[in-house]
Parts: sequence; structure tokens; C-alpha cells
Amino acid sequence: MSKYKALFYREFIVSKKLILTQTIAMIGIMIFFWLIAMSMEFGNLKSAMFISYGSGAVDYIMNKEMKMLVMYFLGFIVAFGTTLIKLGDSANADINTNWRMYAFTLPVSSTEKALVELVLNILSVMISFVLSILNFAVLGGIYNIKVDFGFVVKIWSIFILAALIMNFFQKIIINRARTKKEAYLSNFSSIICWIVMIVAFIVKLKMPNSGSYYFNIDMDMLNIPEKYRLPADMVDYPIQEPVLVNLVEAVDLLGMLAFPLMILILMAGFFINRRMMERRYD
Amino acid sequence: MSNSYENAIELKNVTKKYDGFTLDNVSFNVPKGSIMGFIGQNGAGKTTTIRGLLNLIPINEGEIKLIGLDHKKDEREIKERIAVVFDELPFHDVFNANHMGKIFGGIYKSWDNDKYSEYLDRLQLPRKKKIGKFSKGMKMKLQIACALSHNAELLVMDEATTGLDPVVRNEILDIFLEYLQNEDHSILMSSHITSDLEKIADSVTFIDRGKILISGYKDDILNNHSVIKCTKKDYTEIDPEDIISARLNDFGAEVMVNNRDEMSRKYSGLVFDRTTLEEIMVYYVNKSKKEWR
Repeated sequence: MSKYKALFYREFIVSKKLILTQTIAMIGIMIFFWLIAMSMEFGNLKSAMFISYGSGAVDYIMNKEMKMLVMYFLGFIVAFGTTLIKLGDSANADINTNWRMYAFTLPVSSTEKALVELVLNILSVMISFVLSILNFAVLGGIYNIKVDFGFVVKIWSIFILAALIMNFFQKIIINRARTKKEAYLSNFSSIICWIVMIVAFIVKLKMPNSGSYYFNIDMDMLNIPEKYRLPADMVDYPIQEPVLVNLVEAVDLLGMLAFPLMILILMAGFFINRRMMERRYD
Repeated sequence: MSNSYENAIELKNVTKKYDGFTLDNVSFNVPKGSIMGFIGQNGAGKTTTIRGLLNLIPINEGEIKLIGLDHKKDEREIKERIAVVFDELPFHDVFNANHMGKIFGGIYKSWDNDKYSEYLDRLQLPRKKKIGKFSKGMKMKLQIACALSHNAELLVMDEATTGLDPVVRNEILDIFLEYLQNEDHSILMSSHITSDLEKIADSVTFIDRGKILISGYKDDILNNHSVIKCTKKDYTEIDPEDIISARLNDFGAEVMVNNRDEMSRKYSGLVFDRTTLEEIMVYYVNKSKKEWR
């Protein structure tokens, strides 16, 4: 077995339980939401979940939007969760067993260790991609919504970027830890990242809208039946969803930047982690 | 790739400063093909010295060479050719012996899987049982099996036999003696269990409070030192310059002296007893007090 294979093998054995439980949890959440969606579309929850806006066409459109929001929200959970799968694996165990110190006595460089982590990050991103696409495909089929694939990829890439940014900071804290106290404190690094993200989200929500936007709905995309389609001059209907509109704009912009930023974050993570791993004891 | 060298370990004037503790000008050599016992009480600086020579901690001053190579510049090559054993097993509980064989097989170029299997059989270690379910003795045996299975030229052990029962310790010591049959192999073994070192060490270095007090061949150290058991009156007649330290009791004194032959001629009326490494350690630790109880 080559050195990289040996290191991967080691990481896999250590994280195996965590990878399995988290992946199964993600798939379980997805299936749960699929079943709810099926019930909302065809089953007992159909009438219970329908929100009336007073107009048949608007009702149809708005409820579809809600369903799309659910789709994307679930996609967020799946993408985020699977990207972070490897995170909580072994920092504490490494330090409690003295593996980190012992690893310095082995003919393994910090570059090799950091490269293995980088590849594992990329693998978790790929797993999240597959699961997210699967989720969109299934929910899109249940809701009978034709989802724009380019838009889905943009949304997914933003979720992944957010997860990778969180991963980036957490890894620095985890890889820097040398003592049991530092390892224990590194457990809270994820809480700090979540707090930062929630604060950013709240700040964004509180920001005034920059103007009125009209959400031009692509009727074909939503697959709205003919009888519910509004006349063309009524496409700017009075009900506006500023949050949804801002979100769409943000997705468009961030989605373009997400892939290059992802690569930057992964590479920066590699170099910084390598540096952290070189840190000796003192 | 192999280079020729005389000493497996060379430390010259190694200094490491912490708040409240300093490893002060530590110098000793471990000749190739020998085993050195590195003894000292808890907190004396054994682990700090070992971490310094393995480049686990940076040193402030001094030179260190392992197997003839600079411990920083040639770190990668050194790590390929040495093995380290710590006092606690550094492997996760989820692994088993088979896993460790595969991992080390990929990490070390000269990993010998047949030898590893032989050690597992000889030490009666189960291959598929999780390490988390091993006893302390089994964990240490596994660590040693892993350390000895890649043809390492130098074995560095930090309190590896601490906490083990005498049966397991004997088993491990026998393995070390076999390991040393190859005259290219050397061992540095830190311990405060001096009885183990008396059995197998060729040389001994004694460290106390960050300073080397004695370093040399074990037999020479044991032959040179002696304990004089005498009355209080006889004790008063011994030149204080000749005394390393003395333990006083109600009946007399037990005095540790160096240079046994000369002392026995000088104080011919007194009884000179053979001593042990443990006694030497205890008396040297109390050297600054001169007299103690």
C-alpha cells in the first residue's frame, strides 16, 4: 500500500462510523422530506398545507414557490451536512491518543497529511453534489417542477462554499491544537461559525430592499397549467416576495463566483493546514 | 541508503528553556550497537530530552545527531530508519493489529510484514480484536511489534515499560536483547525502573533537574560507586569531599561514594557494599543536601 493510500486508509477507519452515520442521517432526512412532499402533493397533507392568497393563479404560484423554497432548503441541509461530514472525526481522538505527536516521528510530511485532507474535502464535496442533485431531481419530480439545472448548480455551489468556509476555519483551529485543552476548545469552532452565519443572515434580512423588483416567473419552468396562467400584462402581480427576489439575485451573483472561490478556499486550506500541521510541541 | 556512524545518538550541549525548568547543556552519546538506559526521577528532563532529539520540540542551543545524521536537516531520512515507542499507545481504539500493519506497511519503505506477523504470533496478539479492548500490556506489545517491523536501526523508548507487570516487562526485554543481536541496532530507553536497565543496558545516563549527573558504562558506574555503612563516629571521619550524599539514621550513616577502589584503600576499616542504579539515583538526587534522612 502506498503512503497516501495508507494515510487515506487510516482516516477512513477512524472516521468510518461518523461518515456512515452522517450519510445515513442525510439520506434519512431526504427520504423523510420526500415522503412529506408526496403527501403534500398527492396525499393527506394536500389541503392542510395549501395557503390561500385569494386568487387561484396566485395561490398556485405562491404555493409552488413555497415548495421550491423547501426544495432548496433541503438541498442546503444536504449539501452543507455532507460537506462537513469529515469534520468532527479525529481531533480529540488524535490528541487524546497522542497520535499527533507520534505522527511527527513517522516519515510522513505535513504536505502529505494536508494533501490527504484536501482530497477528502473534495470527496465530501462530490458526495454532497450527488446527493443534492438526487434531492432536486426527486423533489422536482414530486412537485412537477422543472428545475433549471444551472440554477440548481449555482445554489448548490453557494451552500458548499459556505460549508467550505466554515470547514476552513474549523480545520485551522483543529489542526493547530496540540494539547487536550486546545482540542476541547476546537469543538466549539463550529458553533462560532454558525453564529457568524446566523448573524450575517439576520443582518441581511434587516437591510432595506433596494427597490421594488418584479419576480418574472417563467411559467414554463414552473409548469403551471394553462387555466391558471395570468394574462401577460398582469405578470407584475401585487404580491412581491422581497426575500425571495433578493435571494435569486444573490444566487445569480454568488453562483458565478462560487466555483472559483471554492477552489481558492480549498487551496488556501491546504497551505494553511500544512503550516498548522508543521507546528511542533513546546 | 545507509551511512556509517559511530554513535547512534549524539547530543552536544543541548539546552532547552522553559519557565521554571531548563535542560541545561545536556551531552551524551549512545554508541552504535548498544543500549543506553536514560534514568531520572519524574520531572528530571528525560521526556524533554527525548522530544528534543526527535525534533518534537525545538531546542534553544546545541547539536543533535541521530544515526550520524542531523536531526533537523535529515529528519525525513532519520524517521524512515528509526522507531519510537511512547509510554502510551498512540493508536485509536477502533484499529486492530491488521489495520496497523497495513498503515505502517504503506508508511515505511522497509516494512516487513512477515516479521510483523511473527511478532504478533510470538506476543500472542490477536489480529482482529480492536485495540480499545487490549490490556495495557498488549497495547505496549503491539506498539513494540510495529516499531520493530521496519528494520529500524535505532529504537527510542520513552518510559515504555512503565506500568507493565514483571512478566510482560521480561518478555519485552528479551525482545530488545534479540533486537540488539544485530550490531547495527541501538536502543535509547528512558525509564525510572532501574532494575530493567540493570538487566539489559550497556550504558546509563542519569539526569536530574535538567542536568546530566552521570553518564557512562553501566558496569563501570556500578563498580565505581559504593555505599559505606558506618557508625556516626566513622561517618565524621570521612572527608566530605569524598561523599556524594549520606543517609543518616539513628544508628549511623549510609554513605554513597564514587571511586570505590580508591575509597576502599583510604577508608580501609569500613565496609563497602555493592550498590544498584536505584540507590545511585536516590543518592545523587539528594546530593545537594549532602545529608538526608
